[in-house]
Amino acid sequence: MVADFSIAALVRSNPAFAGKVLAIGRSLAPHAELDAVSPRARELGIRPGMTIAQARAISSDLAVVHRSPAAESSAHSALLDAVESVSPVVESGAPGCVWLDLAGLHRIYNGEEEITAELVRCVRRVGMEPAAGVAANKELAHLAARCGGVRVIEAGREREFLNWLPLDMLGLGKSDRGDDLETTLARWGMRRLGELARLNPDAVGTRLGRRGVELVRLARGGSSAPLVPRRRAEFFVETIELEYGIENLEPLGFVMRAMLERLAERLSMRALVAGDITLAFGMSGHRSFSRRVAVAAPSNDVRAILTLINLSLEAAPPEAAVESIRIEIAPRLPRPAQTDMFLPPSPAPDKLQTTIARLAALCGPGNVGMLRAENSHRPEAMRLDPFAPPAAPPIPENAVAKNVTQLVIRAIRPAREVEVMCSREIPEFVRGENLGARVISIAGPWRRDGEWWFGFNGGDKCGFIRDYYELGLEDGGVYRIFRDLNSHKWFLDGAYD
Amino acid sequence: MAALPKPSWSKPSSPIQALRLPSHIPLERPQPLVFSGVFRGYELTRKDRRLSSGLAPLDALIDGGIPRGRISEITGRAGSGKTSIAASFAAFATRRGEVAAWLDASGAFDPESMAAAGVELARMLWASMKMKTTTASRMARATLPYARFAAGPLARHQSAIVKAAELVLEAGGFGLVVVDFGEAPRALAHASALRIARAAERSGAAVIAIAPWRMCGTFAALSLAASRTQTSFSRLAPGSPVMFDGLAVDAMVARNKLGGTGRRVRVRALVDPVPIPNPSGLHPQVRISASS
Repeated sequence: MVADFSIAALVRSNPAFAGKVLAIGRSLAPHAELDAVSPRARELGIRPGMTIAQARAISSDLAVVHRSPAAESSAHSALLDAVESVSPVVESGAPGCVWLDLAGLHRIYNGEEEITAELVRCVRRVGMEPAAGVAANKELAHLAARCGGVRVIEAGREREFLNWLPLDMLGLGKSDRGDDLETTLARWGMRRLGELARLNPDAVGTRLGRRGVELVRLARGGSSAPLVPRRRAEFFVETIELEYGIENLEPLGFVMRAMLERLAERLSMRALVAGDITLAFGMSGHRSFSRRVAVAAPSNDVRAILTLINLSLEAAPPEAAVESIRIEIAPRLPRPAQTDMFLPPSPAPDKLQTTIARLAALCGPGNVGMLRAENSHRPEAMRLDPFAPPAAPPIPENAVAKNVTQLVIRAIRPAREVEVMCSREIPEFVRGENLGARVISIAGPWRRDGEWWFGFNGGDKCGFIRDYYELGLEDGGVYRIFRDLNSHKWFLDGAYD
Repeated sequence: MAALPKPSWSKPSSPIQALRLPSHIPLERPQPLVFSGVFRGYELTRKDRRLSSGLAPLDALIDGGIPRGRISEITGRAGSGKTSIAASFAAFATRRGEVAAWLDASGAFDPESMAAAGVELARMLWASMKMKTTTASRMARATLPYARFAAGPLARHQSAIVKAAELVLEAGGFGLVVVDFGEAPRALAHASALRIARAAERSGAAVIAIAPWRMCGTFAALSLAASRTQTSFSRLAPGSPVMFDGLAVDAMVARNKLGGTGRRVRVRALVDPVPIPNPSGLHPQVRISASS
């Protein structure tokens, strides 16, 4: 569990609050009471329940902020992710409190101390300082964690721990009859749980109702609730509520970078990578904005993801100042790969995915991948597939060296319109952008037509019919030029090189 | 005056003992110091650190192939056959199972003819810097903070292609990276060429730069100048349609840090290539026109 969770969540979402004299008030008026205070404020003597005016009299540096449900929700999800990276069986409790089942973990870790050390390390990675308790049941573990730090209650020594525990740690509340339990027990002379454990539960139940019986069972080390594991999260979400609206993309990117870093940390702890991203902005005037950003190559590279988001937002920015940001990431499994010692090296899958994501951010998502010719009669028809190189084949022992090679064409996409002067329908001179030369040699025409079988599209006839030529020009180049017989225009399609 | 005692070594009665090593002690030769990251020259000339083109005459010209971990340039004007030569290196690398990248400044990559040239497109990562001007400027603003000081879209493409080359080389595992600067590139800054060269050295990938003129200056280990010497149009029979056969390309070693320069070879790049039998096993098409 995380003590002072509402404060810890605020500090996590805004690290500038770390180490500050901070408190959460019910309102910002001077007479408003404080709900929670930071450890630094507690050191100075500020306590929850004080008014803001009283707290300011103790420390003028006190910063009072509102509670942030969005930050608490994100922090609780992060806490669950951190804990799930240690054990698969996790139950979500009150905000800032989770339970996990340690059964079977002894095959991985040497004892409870190592498990708790790992837990603490994981929770620190998501930006919070945890307290952990290990015990035979949920209630006992919760009490052990509430004592602070890391506390392991060994089996058979529960009563020893409970005997010592003061009753006011439990936050008893009211009995079934509406009496204040803590006051009632104090009137009976009960100060510690051990004293309560010695009472007859039936007698306590007669006087205090069901709550009293539960208290006695707890004091005797019994449990009333089994651990109910939660379902695995399908999305990773970070939410932040801003104190002021952001109108420019640059500061928005600055805020989102911190959120993405936290999400990437959570994903990497679960050995996952970021897939598609859904942005949801709350804007001024109660408007909302949402955008789905496709990630071609799942990766945890924050810079690449942020660049993709920036490109998407620049193309169609939000129409008003952004007041809250919600980033939802669909997790993906990293691509596994088994390398072979005797085959040529290939890029590591994670590095390759990151590189493709960065390239996509640099060049645009539609400009990176594996380019293939489409199954079509149009020479310019091509398809861009995600790049995933197959496993390398065995290296051929005796590859025969050739002495001729295939001539390659440098494509011009889209085909550039040119002016062609003909004599008796034979091209004689070609003029266009950066081109102007007499025709020396001609091969063709070669007719290509197709797609007529698609019929009509909105009144226009589908299909193309073109005459292709290979023209050797006076400037030395050999070009592929076609005449579109539908429009009777000439186009430069490529140059042999 | 007392006489000085004679030194003991001058006594003829005490012969000098011959120092003899026992035969079972192995003689240790001094080993050269090995520093990580420091290349020794001969490593570059090893055959296994070269990437072949699969073209016998061309490989004979450049001592087995282009050096890995270095930049090699293939220059020539439009229609000179430089792209076909680069494609032959890409075909050899991808058929061998290596992963290659083609960084395309002008969007000239034609998958159909590349596949016909033997390039396994499944192992070829393609990235194009060609985009709409508005997109390009947006990208440049978003990703290249200094690009706004450049002259225009060409410079932005150039910055992007240098950045892309660095990204690919830093990923590691690529056997070949082809950087196609297009038909009208701006001069590449020394710093950019140096960055690519450093990245290539770290990754060990062979880097081919295709451009009309030399781009990488002193940072290129090898520079092949391609020029078209013959264009072949023919007809199979009188009265039949004229066919475009292909080009005869002269490849000349314009710069070579690891060997001589000035040598040239003729390579045929055909639309429909048929291997020419070469029973002698020699490379008769290689003719030396100048010595290094």
